[in-house]
Amino acid sequence: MNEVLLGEEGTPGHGAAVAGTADVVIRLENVVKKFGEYTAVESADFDIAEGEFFSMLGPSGCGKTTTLRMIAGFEQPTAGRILLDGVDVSKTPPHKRNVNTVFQNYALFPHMSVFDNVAFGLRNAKVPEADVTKRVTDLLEIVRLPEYAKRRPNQLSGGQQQRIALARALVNLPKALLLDEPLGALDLKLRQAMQLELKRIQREVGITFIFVTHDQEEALTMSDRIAVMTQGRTDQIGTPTQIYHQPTTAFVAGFIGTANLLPVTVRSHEGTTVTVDSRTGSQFRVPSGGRSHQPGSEVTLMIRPERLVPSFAPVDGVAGGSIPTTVTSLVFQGPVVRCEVQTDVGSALVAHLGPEDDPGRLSVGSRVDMTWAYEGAYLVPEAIDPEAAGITQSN
Amino acid sequence: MAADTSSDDRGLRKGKWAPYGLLSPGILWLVLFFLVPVMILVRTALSSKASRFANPEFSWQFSNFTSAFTDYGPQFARSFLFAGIATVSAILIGYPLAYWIATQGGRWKNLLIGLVVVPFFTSYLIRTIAWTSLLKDDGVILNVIHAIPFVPQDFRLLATPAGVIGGLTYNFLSFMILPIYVSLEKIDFRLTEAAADLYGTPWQAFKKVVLPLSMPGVFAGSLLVFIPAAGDYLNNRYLGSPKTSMIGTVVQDKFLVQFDYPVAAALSLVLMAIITTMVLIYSKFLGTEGLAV
Repeated sequence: MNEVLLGEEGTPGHGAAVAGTADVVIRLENVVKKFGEYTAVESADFDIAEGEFFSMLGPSGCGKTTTLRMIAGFEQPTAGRILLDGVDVSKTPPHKRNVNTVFQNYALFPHMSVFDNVAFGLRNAKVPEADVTKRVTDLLEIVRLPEYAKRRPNQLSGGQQQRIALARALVNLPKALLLDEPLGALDLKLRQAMQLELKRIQREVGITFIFVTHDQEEALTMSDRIAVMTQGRTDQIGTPTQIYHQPTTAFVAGFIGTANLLPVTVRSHEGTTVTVDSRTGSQFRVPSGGRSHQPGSEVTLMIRPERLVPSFAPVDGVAGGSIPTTVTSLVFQGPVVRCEVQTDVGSALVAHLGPEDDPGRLSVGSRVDMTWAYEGAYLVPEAIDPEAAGITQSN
Repeated sequence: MAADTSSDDRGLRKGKWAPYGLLSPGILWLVLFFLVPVMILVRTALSSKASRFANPEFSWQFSNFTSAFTDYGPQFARSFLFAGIATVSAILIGYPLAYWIATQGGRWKNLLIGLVVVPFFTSYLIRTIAWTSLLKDDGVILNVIHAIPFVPQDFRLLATPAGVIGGLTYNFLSFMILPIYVSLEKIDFRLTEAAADLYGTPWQAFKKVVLPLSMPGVFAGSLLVFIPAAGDYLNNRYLGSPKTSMIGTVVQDKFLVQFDYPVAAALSLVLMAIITTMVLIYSKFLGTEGLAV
């Protein structure tokens, strides 16, 4: 049914496809946005591909929503260009752009029925009423609320309103669907269910989704690619795996999941292995991660908590290094024990210990050497402030 | 257990009477100062007077009501026509103003709304009398109008329907602006973004989203302007002429000049009945009940 919906109807109103750039739906070319003196977006420069689930992830004030609003047309870039299907739309008003938005608080029209809400875009695009009825009915089925067509939005629950907002945008078969923290207002259980639901709907309709969120877990769960943003800059764009395992900046390392970050100095780089000096004077051997590192450069050693184990526990693979520490806290969290330790220079580290690590042998105040496997460590090619060393996490 | 239920009962009984307790001052007030006077008015309307200075005697005098229609039809018609035009004018002037303040006012919003009520600092009577000197034949406004070519020399505003309607519009304009402003102010303007996002031009966004959502304000404003305007006599007295007399003028004249209380009471009741009917029909048409969000 959905193939039929997409195959026969075409797009409403505008948006003739441009040959030659079929793969790239949206291209941002050095887009800058300033509000007076304040730079909200420093330079957004990336492509979003057809059918992709693309997330912009970052803390509040990082410029992700402003970027989304520029793609939608609510804000105009101060500099740079936005191309939709190869056509420069930087100055095009929102009602002439073939992209649709799911707003943070849904922004459903309170004086209209669910049906009229969903039909709003099609009617403005002068789609014949018979087609409107068919497409709205199909979409309400896709979001699994066909029996609610006659209700008013305020008679629906938050999750249902969310689906209607989604249907209202998707029914227009936009070139890209823009979602501005659409799950923010839902409680945890519903949010997790909606994450899977969104992914299912995206696969079903095959439309490009551009998703804005501050929740890294949400971005990791749903996205094909993620752009991690902070302070108006795009720090890294990559798949969830790349972002998690190979962060290019200390910010990304700390924002995605929990990371132990230690400032280190490159001593030598041979083949695929880099030898680094830590502040405590010990040396570690770390995979180069495909980069070349200049001896003497300041970089950051990242070890995820699940890769850090006490020396008495077996290390998976070749040992990469070890640090003498003192245990400062042990918290049982079900599948893992969260073990916080302090190095002799005062940096706090955290390890997630599974049953195989035998956490029962540890107690607060006990001395333990924390070790990691060679592949468990990663070099972030950026120096960090020694003050900021230790555990870094987003929430 | 038994003790528990009895205390529950007491709680229930207290809760049951609380709404009536809260309502009683209002009910008492309405009974004393609305219901009783209306009943006196009905009684007076059905009375007759032996002579001009005699007390009205209750006598089922229904002719008072029939004379309201037969003798004062034109005045009734004029009242509703003038009040209707004044209401529409107040919407046309007040809506854009309220819209501008609500959307563009920014941090000046409260000051601007304050300015809207500034005319109330002067009494209604004084303001209306002030208009006579504005509209008079050799006044500021007419001097300007007569300077325009092709305006006939006998063109005037004072003692014309235009003068009365102008006065009504001016005097009740704030009652239109305030409720419209309140309803516009409540609208989440992200809804207009959503409308634009869904291919709505700015005009379509206004027509399909903002206007319907502000209708409760237009409705309230219309009642607040139309009802007092329909019964008004001051504007006609100072800005009109006997040719533009409205039903309020007649009632005032009957009560205070001719002491014909029965006919005056009948006229007042008929006015009340007609306005109530019109308001009911109007609210049916506007159907604003689904808008409560």
